[in-house]
Amino acid sequence: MSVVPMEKIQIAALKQDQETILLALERQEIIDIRSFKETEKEPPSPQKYNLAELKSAITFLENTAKKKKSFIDTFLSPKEIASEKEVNRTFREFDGTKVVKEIEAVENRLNTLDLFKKELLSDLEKLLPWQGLKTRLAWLTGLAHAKADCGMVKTKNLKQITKVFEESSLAVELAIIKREKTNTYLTVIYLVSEAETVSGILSKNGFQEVSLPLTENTPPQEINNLKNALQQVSLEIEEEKTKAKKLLVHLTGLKYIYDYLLGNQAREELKNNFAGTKYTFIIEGWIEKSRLKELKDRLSAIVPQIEIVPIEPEQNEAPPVVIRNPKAFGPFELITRTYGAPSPNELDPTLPLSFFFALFFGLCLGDFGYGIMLTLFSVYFLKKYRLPAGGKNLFVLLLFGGLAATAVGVLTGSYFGFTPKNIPLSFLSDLQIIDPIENPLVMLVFSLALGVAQILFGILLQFVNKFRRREYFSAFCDDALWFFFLGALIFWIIAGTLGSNLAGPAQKLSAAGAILLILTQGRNEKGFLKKLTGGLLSLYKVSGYMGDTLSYSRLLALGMSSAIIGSVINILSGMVAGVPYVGFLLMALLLAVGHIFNLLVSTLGAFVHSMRLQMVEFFSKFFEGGGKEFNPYKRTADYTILQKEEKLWN
Amino acid sequence: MELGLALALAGVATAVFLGGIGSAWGVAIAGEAAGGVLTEDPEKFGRLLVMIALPGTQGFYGFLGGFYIMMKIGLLTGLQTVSPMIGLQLFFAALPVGVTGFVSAIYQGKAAAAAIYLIAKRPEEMGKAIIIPAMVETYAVIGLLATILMVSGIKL
Repeated sequence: MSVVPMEKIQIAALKQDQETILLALERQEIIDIRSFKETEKEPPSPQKYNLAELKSAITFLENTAKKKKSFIDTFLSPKEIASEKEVNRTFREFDGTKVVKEIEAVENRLNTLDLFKKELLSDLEKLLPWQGLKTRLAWLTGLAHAKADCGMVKTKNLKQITKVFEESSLAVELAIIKREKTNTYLTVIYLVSEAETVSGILSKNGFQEVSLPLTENTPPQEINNLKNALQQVSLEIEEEKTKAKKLLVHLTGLKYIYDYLLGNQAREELKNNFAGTKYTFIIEGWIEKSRLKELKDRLSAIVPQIEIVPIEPEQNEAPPVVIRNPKAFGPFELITRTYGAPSPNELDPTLPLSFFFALFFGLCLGDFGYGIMLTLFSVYFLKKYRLPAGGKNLFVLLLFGGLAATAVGVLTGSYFGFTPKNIPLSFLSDLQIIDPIENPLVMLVFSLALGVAQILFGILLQFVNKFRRREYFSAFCDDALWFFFLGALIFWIIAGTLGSNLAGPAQKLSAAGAILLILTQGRNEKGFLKKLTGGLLSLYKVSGYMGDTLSYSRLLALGMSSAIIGSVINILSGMVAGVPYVGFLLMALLLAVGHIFNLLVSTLGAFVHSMRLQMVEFFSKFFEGGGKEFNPYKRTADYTILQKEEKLWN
Repeated sequence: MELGLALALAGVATAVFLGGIGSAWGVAIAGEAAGGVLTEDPEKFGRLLVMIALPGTQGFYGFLGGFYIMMKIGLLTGLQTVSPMIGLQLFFAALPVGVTGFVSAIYQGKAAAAAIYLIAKRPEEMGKAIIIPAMVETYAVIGLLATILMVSGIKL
């Protein structure tokens, strides 16, 4: 439950050992490298390969492999696990340049073929309606006195055109090639001397000229030729694709080479930025205090001439923040991180929030069946998929939440929306301590009480925070006093509602608390009057605390919503069960789909709202955040991650 | 007695359709934003789907409020007598979830759209993005709560 103490260090060593040191550091992910000498120099790019070309070759192969990504896969890290030895060996022994050239050739050829295919297809489409035209296309032009236009008109205009030409004295021959429902394809033959009149009439009646390829073939022959060409092209495309598929065996190799080069490039860039002399260089950065000795011992074992010393951070330089919690609570760091890392001199809120989060989640989901289902889903996902760290934490959180919901479901008597009354197991009723749907008020009070508890706990944590920072005066006058005042106030309210004779003393205690607050809260103002009004106004904060408390009423509302929607699904399923023949099937379907849907929606709501209660209502009492997370220097790679055991020192 | 039932059912209807309209509207706003982002980056579909779903809850809250009234008057199990005054009370009790749901869903849709643009640029900030629209939803939850408390308090 804490922010790990950090130390700023300086590593000085010989340039000849630079590569070794950087490799060791990047594998350990131990140091957050800070100060650089800013240079504009571009690192030398590798000569043998062009990174961009390599990347495009890899992308092409990946598309060829075309494993359709499932919905779940889009959330997962696409990187594959590799051993560093294998990566290095691949780089040394496998000549990727030839493969890249081959891939490029295949890709270019495929692009050309695709383009050609598209052209052929569009030609074919244009020619298809002219199958009935039995004239060589080239013959349609170049006649001395006559002209032939191919084109189409709307079928509904056809009669009109025929009529116009019949009534005129023009020498025109209309040959209808193909009549479809909307369009009619026809050839118009007329005298060159009358061309202007004819084309005038034609365009007036919506004749659209179609330009056909002027070959020595008739359209049926030409269509045949095109079809043959298409077949040929498709064959060639298939051939190239087979070639591409054969190249797939090199995909992993190319990825290894790419990552090897990328890592090299990153290191070269870094080296250029280190301060140093002709033969030495200096790295500055932050590491965990407890790991300093480890770093010293291990590095000097690898490189004899090295100096590692702690140094003073610069003025106003805040150390990066690492938070570390017992393993079981680690996943709750997800919530802390989402809000922002704590600042270096703050408490880590992960542990305090973990109990509340799990409990709130359980209350919001609040059903035995859904809890069990969520737990099983989470276990399945954790076992089945290799999740990135964040995703893993998320599912562990859901697992905890599911367990909490299971327990809450038993206590509130909710089993997939059924109550113990519907289930022939008598002991279930004994386990139920409250029915929120019958007694929402009791549950509301319980929710608000949880809110009060968390808020008071938050004030207590602020007290601890200030104590640690040695701000004793403020700790006692602000946080302790508020804690006392609010505590007394709540005690008074409870005692008053119950009619207990403790109400009197409680009232006096809260009055005392209020007076003390009035006396202390205005202390930073100038002048007696301002101090007094400042103190009085501070009591207004009570309304803020009240609002925060009321916000916890959502625990009741969300819990009821998932339970009631569950019971609605059951009622509807019961209704469709009466349908003849398929009733049972419909019921089963509705139950399955309905409950899974409700589980999804309620889980989303439970997660988001439990998280919000931590961030808005709880954190605001004691937690500021705004720390910069420790970002250790590590391996740069796009396609691979190294096997875990290789992260140890060697 | 028929008037009482009619008023109660008007309450049910109001809660359901206001919540439903609001959610449909809000989801559409978020959906439009997501459609734009997906043209650039279809891989984000999973993340964005969650954001699109967020303004959808008000429709459920409305239905829930309506269903609670239906259960109260025994519409599905065995109809109780509902006097006109009780019917009117139930109608008013339906308003908080209906109206807050209607308005908050639309605005939550806008907040969700903003969060979607955030995810478009910084997919790693999903956690923060999801909180922004959830802030808006609070008030629909409060509306639902008020309706439930009012309905459970009304004596038939």
